[in-house]
Parts: sequence; structure tokens; C-alpha cells
Amino acid sequence: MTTHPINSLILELVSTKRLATVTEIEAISSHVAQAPFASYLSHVPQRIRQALDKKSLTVPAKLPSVEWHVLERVYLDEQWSLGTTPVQYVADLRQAILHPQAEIWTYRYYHEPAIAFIAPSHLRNAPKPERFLFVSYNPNFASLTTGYQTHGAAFALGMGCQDLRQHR
Amino acid sequence: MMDLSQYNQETIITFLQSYEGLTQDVVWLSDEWATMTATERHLQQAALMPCWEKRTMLGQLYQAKRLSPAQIEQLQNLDQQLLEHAIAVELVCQLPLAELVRYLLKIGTPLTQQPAPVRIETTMTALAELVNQPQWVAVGA
Repeated sequence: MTTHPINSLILELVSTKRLATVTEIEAISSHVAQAPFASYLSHVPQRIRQALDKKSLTVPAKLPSVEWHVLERVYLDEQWSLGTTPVQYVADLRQAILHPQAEIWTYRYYHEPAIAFIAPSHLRNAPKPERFLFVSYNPNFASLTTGYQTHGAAFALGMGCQDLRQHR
Repeated sequence: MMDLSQYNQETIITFLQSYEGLTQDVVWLSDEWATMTATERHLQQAALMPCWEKRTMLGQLYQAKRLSPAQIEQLQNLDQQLLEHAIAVELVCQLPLAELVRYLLKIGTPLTQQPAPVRIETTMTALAELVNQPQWVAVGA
């Protein structure tokens, strides 16, 4: 399988820790903003199933990753409002990726290359908002792997993150 | 000093629930780990990022004395549970015992204030790593 040139660029930035140029940053942001969220069929974490049980909601043992991410953001973290769909959730993440003030970081997360976008949160109706929206993209998977509201880069890019490099 | 004023009691309860979910899910994930593909493992690890962030925030809130006595007790119990499952934490989060303890001490844990013993389940490998820390080698040299 051929790797998209922008994914190759992200892999190179992660491995060399080279600072991306302004043109490269624009190309990366544009590329990542079009990427899908991981839809890999995977186990719904126990914490989500138990929290939903308490609300008399049941889910299958496995769901596409994006679907249980939305459930966690809505019902556990209360960072997105009730009724948010995966499409709306991903649209919010894409808005954060394209935010002109978004911080952009490359890093390794448990040895997997990643790039993160941390933008001022535009979400107004969330019960428990934070200041920023965090979005992580994996160039090997060519997909977004997580997205949530965060207090800031120092808190989001903690456990499991290595070789951090801020590009903007 | 960071501004913690936005975090009311309801939010702190949510943080504690998220941390409780983390302590339970590392055990559940370690049980399922062998059945998961590399892709699923990575996605599960990525999904734990906000849970770890909330534990870090709880450390800040604890150090700023923003937690009630009941919340401090709950945080202490959850930290104890996490240490008891250090083997699962190392498997799922690739965090050796020494790093886990270092993390908890750095961000703030009520365990440092309790006189009772701390129970830790660990491996000989992790203990060997602990005694091979440079400062210990220097003491024993």
C-alpha cells in the first residue's frame, strides 16, 4: 500500500523532530482535516459499558471506535451535548484542526507516530467544557484516533507521549 | 499557577469517575490484551489519554486543596488500586512500576500522607529495574 505523501511527511517530522515549515503545516492541516476518525471494530471499554448500564443504555460488546468515543464524550465526560452524532463529533474535531490558532505537535504515543492539534474550544453547549479541543491523528492508520476537550497541551500530552515537538 | 476555579464539585466527581474507569479498565484490558490486534491495542491506549489527563488534574486539585475529605479518600483508594494493578498498568500503558510511582509522586497523591502500608503487585523484572536506578547503584557501589 502506498503511503500518502503528507503521511510520509508527518512520519519524517516525527522521526527527525525537524520543525515543519509554514507551507508544510498548511498542507498537513488540510490533509488531516479530511481524514476519517478510526472506525475499527473494537471492544467498547468496560468504563463506558458500566456508565451506560447505570443509565439503562446497552451497547454491543464491540462497536466502531468512533461510536464509542462519542458515547464516552457525551455520557461520561459530558464534554459534548446529548444527541451528538459521530458526524457532528468529527465535524467539531475538523473545525479544531483547521483553527488558525491551533497548536500543532508531533510525538510518539506508545511508539506509534502521531500529530496533535490543540485549538481553543468552540463548543458552547457542553455541560463540562474545557478550554481547548485536542485531536490526535496517526499517519500509519491515516485516521483520527481520539478527540476530546482538554485543559491544555501540558495535560493532554502526558502519559505515553515521547519525542514531543511543537510546530506551531 | 494554573487556574482551577472552573472546576466545581460536579466536575471533580466526573474526574474521579473517569479515574475509577481507568483503574478498572487497565485490568480489563490486560485480561483481553492477548486477544486484541495491534491496531485495537493502540486505539484502546489512545482512548485512555483523557483518563490520564483527569488523574493529572486531580493531582493539581489535591495539591491546591480543592478536594473534600471524601474526595481525597476516594483518590487515595484509587491510587492504591492502580498500584495494586501495577502489572496490568505496565502491560497496557507500558509504564513500569518505577515510572508509575514517579508519576504519582510528581502530580500529587494522598498516599504520601497515609501511614498505612501500600500494597503493590509487581514483577521481579520491575523490582530489578527499581534497584538498577542510578541512585541505588551509587549507594550500593
